[in-house]
Amino acid sequence: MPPTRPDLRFARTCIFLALLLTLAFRLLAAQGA
Amino acid sequence: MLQPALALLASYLLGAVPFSWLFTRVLKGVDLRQVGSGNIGATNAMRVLGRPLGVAAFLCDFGKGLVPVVWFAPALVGSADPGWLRVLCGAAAVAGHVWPIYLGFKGGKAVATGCGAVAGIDPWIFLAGGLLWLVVLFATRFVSLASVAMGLAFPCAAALRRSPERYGFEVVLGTSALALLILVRHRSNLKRLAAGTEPRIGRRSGEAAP
Repeated sequence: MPPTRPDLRFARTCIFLALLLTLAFRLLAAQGA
Repeated sequence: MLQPALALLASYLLGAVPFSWLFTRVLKGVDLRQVGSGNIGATNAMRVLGRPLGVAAFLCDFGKGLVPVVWFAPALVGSADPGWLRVLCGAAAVAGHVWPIYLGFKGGKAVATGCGAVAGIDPWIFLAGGLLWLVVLFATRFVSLASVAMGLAFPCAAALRRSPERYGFEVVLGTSALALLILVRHRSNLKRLAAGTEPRIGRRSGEAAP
């Protein structure tokens, strides 16, 4: 299988999901506090 | 004194877990250090794993910067404001990623884990840096240039967001150190950029870095 090239869709998805993950962790941390 | 030391140690040990390397090793039987750019980061992992698993590897690398800041520092210090300890825990996680004890202290370029640490301290700083990263990436298609620009944007955004009720100078200091580290870890990319040999994403020619 040829290597997949990183692309702009990969970049967008990473930033979007990272923000969602941040929100989820901060909400969980706030509930635990 | 013991609890902050434990928080820092836990942060380093979590940051040192090379998720992108583990994903490619376990799922594809490939050593990430011997393919593509040889870097153990998420961008190189995506070359081997494809997009969905590459994104998962990125999120794990991001999460290992986020979790120490959001959970380890407050959990081990208690309800007192652990502002400075959050920054140190984030720095320890990034140090773990860059110099992992499990891989002979040869690690990644501090981008995904650094983003996680910054997002844990102040999501707005990460949002500002992340948007700049996307803009530079869309404009130039150089991941390395976008990452360096994002790293430099973090301390600027932190300085703008700094206020007595939010956080102090420690966040500006921490993000400045991260920017410097990202810059130093991308020096080979910067040399290629200057020489005009750095590959752009989304093109077939020159399957190398970051």
